[in-house]
Amino acid sequence: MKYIVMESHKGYAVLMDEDSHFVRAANLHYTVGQTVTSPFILEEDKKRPLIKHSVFVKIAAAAACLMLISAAGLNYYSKNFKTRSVLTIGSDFYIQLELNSKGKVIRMNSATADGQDVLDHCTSKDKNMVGTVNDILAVMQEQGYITEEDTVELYISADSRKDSASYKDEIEHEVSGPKLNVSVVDKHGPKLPEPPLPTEKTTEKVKPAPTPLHENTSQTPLTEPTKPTPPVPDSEAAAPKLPAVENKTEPAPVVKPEIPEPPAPPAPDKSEKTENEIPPIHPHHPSSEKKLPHPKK
Amino acid sequence: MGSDSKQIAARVQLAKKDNQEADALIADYMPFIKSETSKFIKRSPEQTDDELSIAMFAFYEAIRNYSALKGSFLKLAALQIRNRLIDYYRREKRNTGNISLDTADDDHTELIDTISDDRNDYEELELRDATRQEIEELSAQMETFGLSMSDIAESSPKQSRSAASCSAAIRYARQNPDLLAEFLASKRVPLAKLAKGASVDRKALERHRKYLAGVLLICTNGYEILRGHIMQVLTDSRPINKSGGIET
Repeated sequence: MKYIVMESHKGYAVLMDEDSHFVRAANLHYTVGQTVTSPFILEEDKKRPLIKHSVFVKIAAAAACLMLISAAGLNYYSKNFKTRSVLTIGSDFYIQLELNSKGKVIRMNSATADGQDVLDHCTSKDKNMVGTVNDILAVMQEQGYITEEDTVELYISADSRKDSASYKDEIEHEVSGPKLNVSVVDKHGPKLPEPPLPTEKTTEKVKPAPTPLHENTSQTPLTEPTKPTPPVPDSEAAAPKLPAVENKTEPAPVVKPEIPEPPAPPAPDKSEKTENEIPPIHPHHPSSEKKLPHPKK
Repeated sequence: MGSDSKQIAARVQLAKKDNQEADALIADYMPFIKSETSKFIKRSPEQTDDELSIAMFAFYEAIRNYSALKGSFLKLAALQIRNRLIDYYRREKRNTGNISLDTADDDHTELIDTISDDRNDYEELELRDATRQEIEELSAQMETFGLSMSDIAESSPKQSRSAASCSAAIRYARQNPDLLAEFLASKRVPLAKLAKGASVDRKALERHRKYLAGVLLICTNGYEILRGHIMQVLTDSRPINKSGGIET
């Protein structure tokens, strides 16, 4: 590109190029009217080319936008829907509350039928961890799985120790109801107990009031033999409420000889679980206290 | 010290608007400019050194770029001079390996003397004088319009799109001598007619009003050499596309 020197100053010269653009450049001893080829142009006077949006640039821009949106979506998912901590309630129920990074309950599940039953009765919409735990404990009490005196095991497994400590503190101070034994599960702490194999609902609830005799007639003698009950008064309000623990002290039923002996089952295969199989009852579960002993042969 | 820096800052603010004041400031601070140049080239600069010209140019750039928020003007000027000299040396480095025409061989004959030259120095000198005369006439005519070359350089389009719009307007004016006559008579750029005739945005032309005035003056009779220099702009018949560029 050729430039004509149009004006000469002490610090600079004004040049005109062949595109009729006027620029200021270093005055390298130029004289007016001189033609020069490669001047040292002032930065602000340099031509700025028009950015042509080629297909490549458009694709790159679209890819960048997509990446940005994906990153934002991933971040949102990670904060709100990704499980960061798991709170397990009771080794028998094995109810697991999955919490996100904000400590909100995002999922609830249970590997046991009892736990599932509790969750089915838990109709609360509360997503707060403490609120949900309170609701679950309330349902457990309502359904008779536990009493006020029982101790419920809670296991917290979180990504960070800080979260674990925070959740533990929250539960210990804000959850009301039965006694709680909160443990933090991490590589230094105790291990989370193995979940029980999925079974049918077998754990017996602690009934708040004795059931009338005529209602129990449908009970199968194999699982719950009928026991002698006091005469039922007409008024339901006058019915004496027997504490659940009384059932425990009841002697074995005398009707044992009347029970037809079931055919001897085949040798049980430990690897297989049938539908009617009764799982072992954990010693600390309240229902185990109520469970009547099997008649000794 | 404080009053000195305030005085310099005040002069710089004046020099930003007035080119004569900028020249005067550069002349007053020549010792400072020479000192900064000598720090870089490790010797005292001579008046004919390109490095000194670059340093003066950098000082002018510092005047244009200075604001009170940037602190001391002289510190900014020193930094600007150093950076510009580094740029200059980098650019010159690209030419290393090329043999200068002034290089003398064993017989003390310079390389330039051994190359046959088809150019006619006398004609060139004549052309330069004629060009200078045209430019002087143009400058005088510009003064009647209240314009200077520096003003035109200031308002010259930098973006390709606006440059294409201005070129289209200039071509349209050249094809319509009535418009040029109207411009000379009224001493006002007929922006509305140019924008309509060249099918360009009027706002795009408004920003470069002084530049358009200068080039339209060149398009009028009497400036053949300058018109010949910018002939490719004046004769370009390629239409402007939607994005403002010239269609190829």
